[in-house]
Amino acid sequence: MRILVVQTTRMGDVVQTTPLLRAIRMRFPDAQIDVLVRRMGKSIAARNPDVNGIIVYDEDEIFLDMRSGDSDRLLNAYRVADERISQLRETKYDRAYNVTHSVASAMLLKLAEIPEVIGAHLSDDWQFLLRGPWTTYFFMSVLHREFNDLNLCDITRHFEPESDARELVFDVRDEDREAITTLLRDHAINEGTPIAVMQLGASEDNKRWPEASFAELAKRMHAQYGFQIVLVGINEEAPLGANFEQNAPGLAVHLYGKSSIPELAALLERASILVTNDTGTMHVAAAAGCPITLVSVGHVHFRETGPYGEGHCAIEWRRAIMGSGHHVPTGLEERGLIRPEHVAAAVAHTLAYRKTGTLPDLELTPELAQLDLLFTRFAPDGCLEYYPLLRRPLSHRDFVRTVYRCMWLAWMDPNYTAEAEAKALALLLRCYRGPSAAEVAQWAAEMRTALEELAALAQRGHADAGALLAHVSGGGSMAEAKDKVGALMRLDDDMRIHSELHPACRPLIVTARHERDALEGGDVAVLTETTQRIYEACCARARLLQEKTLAFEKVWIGVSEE
Amino acid sequence: MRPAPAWREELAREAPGTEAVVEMGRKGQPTLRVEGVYLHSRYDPEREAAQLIDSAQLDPKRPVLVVGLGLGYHVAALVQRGFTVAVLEPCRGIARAALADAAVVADGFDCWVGGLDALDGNEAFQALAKRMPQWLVHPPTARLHPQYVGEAAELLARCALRGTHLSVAVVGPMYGGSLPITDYLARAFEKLGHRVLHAGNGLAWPLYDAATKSLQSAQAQGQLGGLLTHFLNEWSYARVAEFAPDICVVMAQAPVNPSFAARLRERGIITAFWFVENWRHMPYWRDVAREYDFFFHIQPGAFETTLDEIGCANHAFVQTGCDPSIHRPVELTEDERDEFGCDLSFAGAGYPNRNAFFRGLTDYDFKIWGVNWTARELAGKVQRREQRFTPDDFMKMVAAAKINLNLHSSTQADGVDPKCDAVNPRVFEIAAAGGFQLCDPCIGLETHFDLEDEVPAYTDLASLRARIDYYLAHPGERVAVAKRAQERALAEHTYEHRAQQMLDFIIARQGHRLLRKGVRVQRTIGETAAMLGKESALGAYLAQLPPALLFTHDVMKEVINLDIDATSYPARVFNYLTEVRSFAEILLKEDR
Repeated sequence: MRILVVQTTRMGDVVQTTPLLRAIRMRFPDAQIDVLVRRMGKSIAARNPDVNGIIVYDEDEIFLDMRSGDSDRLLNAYRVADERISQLRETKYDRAYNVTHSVASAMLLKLAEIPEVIGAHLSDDWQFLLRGPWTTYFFMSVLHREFNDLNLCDITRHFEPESDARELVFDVRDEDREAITTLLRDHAINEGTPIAVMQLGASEDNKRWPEASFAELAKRMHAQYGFQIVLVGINEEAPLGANFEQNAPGLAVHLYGKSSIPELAALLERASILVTNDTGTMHVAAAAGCPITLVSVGHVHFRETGPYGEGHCAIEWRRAIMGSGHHVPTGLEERGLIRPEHVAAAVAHTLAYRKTGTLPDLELTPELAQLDLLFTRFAPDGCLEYYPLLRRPLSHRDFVRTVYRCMWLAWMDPNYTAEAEAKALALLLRCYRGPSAAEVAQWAAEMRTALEELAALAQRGHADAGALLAHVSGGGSMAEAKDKVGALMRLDDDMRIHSELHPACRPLIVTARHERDALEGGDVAVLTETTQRIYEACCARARLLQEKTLAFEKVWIGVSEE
Repeated sequence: MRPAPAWREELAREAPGTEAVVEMGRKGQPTLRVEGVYLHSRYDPEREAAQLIDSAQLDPKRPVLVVGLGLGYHVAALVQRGFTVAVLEPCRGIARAALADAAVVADGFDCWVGGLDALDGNEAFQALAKRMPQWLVHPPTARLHPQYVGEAAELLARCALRGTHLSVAVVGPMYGGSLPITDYLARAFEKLGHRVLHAGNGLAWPLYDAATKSLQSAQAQGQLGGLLTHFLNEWSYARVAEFAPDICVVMAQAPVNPSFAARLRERGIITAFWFVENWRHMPYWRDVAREYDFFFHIQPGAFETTLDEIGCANHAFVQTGCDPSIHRPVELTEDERDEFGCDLSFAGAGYPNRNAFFRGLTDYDFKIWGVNWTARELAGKVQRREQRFTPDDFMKMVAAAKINLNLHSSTQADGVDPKCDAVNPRVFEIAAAGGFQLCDPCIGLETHFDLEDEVPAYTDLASLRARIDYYLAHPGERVAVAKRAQERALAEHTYEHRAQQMLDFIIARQGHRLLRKGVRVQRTIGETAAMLGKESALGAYLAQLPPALLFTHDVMKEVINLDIDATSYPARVFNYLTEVRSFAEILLKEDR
């Protein structure tokens, strides 16, 4: 069996794909598993024992060639693509997993003539399509991130549905450890010295906590824990280190551009903690078992892309939508609002958990009133959860996001149980204080009403599609069929308007619409039948979500009584 | 150019020179001393070579032309890193030391030793130049032979860029005399085969005009005008930056501020300004001349001295001209003959010297066209009062008049300005259109036309009247003179000539900058299809597409939408490439 896994996004995404790779390996122990990655992902893939072969496919170069307006470079781009397609065809892969949110990756797999593709793919008539609930969720969750409560690793590892692989994989070797020991020794850091690593960079400015704040935090960490501070990053990030240096002269060792990715992993394996912005380094640290404090500023969606694994802490300025930078208009201003003492509290909890396995209480002081601090653990439902460290009232959005998590897992995961759900809810809801059971009951009732209306619309769609199917199967007139299709289109518009009026219903409606857009084939009867099933599924999800509001309510009452 | 071993063999036969002395460095590696200059570090020449290469940030896919062999540490390092390398070395003694005596440098590169004269026709050098090599100068060689380095750069640029299609942006004004010239110049670059962006700003004129005229307060007018100009500056910049040309020519009066050029230069774009104004009347040239890489103007002589004095390094006299697609003979209808027909015609603005001078011609069948004609005596002669005319109308005026008058504008003189040295475009336009014209002898005009046989000149009213009377009486001579002027204009004075003159000057002075950045190859779909051949799937596919269109991605993604054979493998690959680009652009936006 030959398997290709396509991950042509960033370095961190390659790390986040390792649980899927492990799941594939567990299912196909003897398979040849190759990964197709960009150049930046090569060293991550090279240290994954589940991977047999690496194909480096740098779309950046193709992109630059195409943008150049140069005829020769366009020809070069064509040739590179052609060679890659030929190579993939010749290898004759039996199956591919596409873990990339791009139509381009789907096209590549189609051109490579791989018979079975999990993830984005193209039909024979070159239409974009997704098959399976997890791949659909992988694509659709980015359209309504505020309602997504699942980490990317948990989503993609389920491309292998029976998967319980929850481990990030990076094989740190002795040679890496030796290299990093030598490098640290060169900087007068001995083996017993406790190390705190800081990554000051980020892919965009608004995601960067200020260097001066990092420097202040470093002073505190050095004074309180005796940490030797080590700054890491690529050469181009060295100016950030220089800014740090101005605020904390001589405090940190600067290792910009001095370590390979495996050596960085070895350093992080040895470190007591990594304090970081949202970066690839963060994922490498998670894979290396290094506790992480993530300072989440700007356009970061840490629920989706935060560190995967237990014992990490995320700190964020309180937003309307926690864990989502989607509606953060003032990213740059926000960076200064999180102060070093705030992050120091998060660091203290990260370290305490690593040391004792328990979390000390954290009081909701006025100082912390405007912050969210969250801690990662695997929930009883099997997926990663961010638990609030500060007990404060549950918000309506928390409520909606949580019931969606329950619904989606129940819908997509065949191993999901009501018992695990109840445990997961209880564990999470104990982290909140208030509001009253009556208020939560009211939220739940309102949501159920909106879902009831949605279910009714979906039912109407199911019935109308059924009538269309009967009409088509019975050889009815084309004019009448067009009328019936028109009625379905009007119904879709009604559903869309419903989602505008009731945003909590939007993910269900967007998903249904996407499923409609991705219908395969040209047989009208088959298409109509599939459409009918989509309405049926939408209705069923709405009903299931209603059930989850009830389950939530029940647990909330229990937890409140405690 | 020959492979290094061939030079080694040749140089080894020569007697060792005395100018280059090999010395041993601190680490036992040889270095070379010439005229007191060490060609390599005496401490660690290999490390020095590595640093030179690192700092040059060379693209490993493109060849490197190194000027200065020295003992070849840097050449050896380049070869070792996998670069295709060619070397120019002015001094045979040094080359012998490197190739035959010290033998630091390995084989694996081509070389040229000695003067550059014979290199221009050298086939291997031409082939190398066409591959757009990167330019790496060995610093000690530049100290010893600065002139050689300059000449080599010029030669390489000339050979590399000869016949190359460049990308050129032309930024125009909102209004005024340079507005049509912008069109002519942009079209000329296009006719020469270059890819052109005409970043015009004429659209903004009605708004600017209406906004400023609607206000009484000069301060408010100025503020609003400033806001609009700032907007146009940014709009022009955005268009040019997106087009990413090799060269951007900004026309006189274009609504851009002095930092415009610096911003483009940061993007690797060569900037030029064409000041088609009289420098004595329009002093704003002082604000822009040094800001641009090149400053072109229409007045030789004193202005050039002044430009030198203020430190404007690259300036050149580039005259205006004619655009044969616009400035051509036209057939007139009877109505047009009635309207435009006359013995004497003048088309242009009523500057004071013209208002004064033409008062002496009111006894002729004389028609005046244009604005600002204020002399009471000319009232009966002025047509379409206070209306501007189009280039098309101008051609009709030229065709209909027996004699077209030309008088260079002046605010100093009452008639002919003997100091005038700014030849106006009208001279070339009338000539190209086959019109007969009489012109004042503006300084420099004689270098463009014969002032008896092509464009007869007058010096004062009396001599003008004499010429008018003569030529009105000799229609055959008028036709012959006009024909000669037309032939000269088309042969020497089109905007294509001017555009080529600009490019030659730019390439000679800063072609190396273009080479360093890399010039985009612009080939048509037809040329690409022919190059690939129909036996290749891509060649066969391209052969079905419109052959004259450029083979670039922006064009191809439009062409594929034409659905010629959308299901073929090449079409699918191009669709795939389009998606790759689109996804990468999304990631870039996210990163921003």
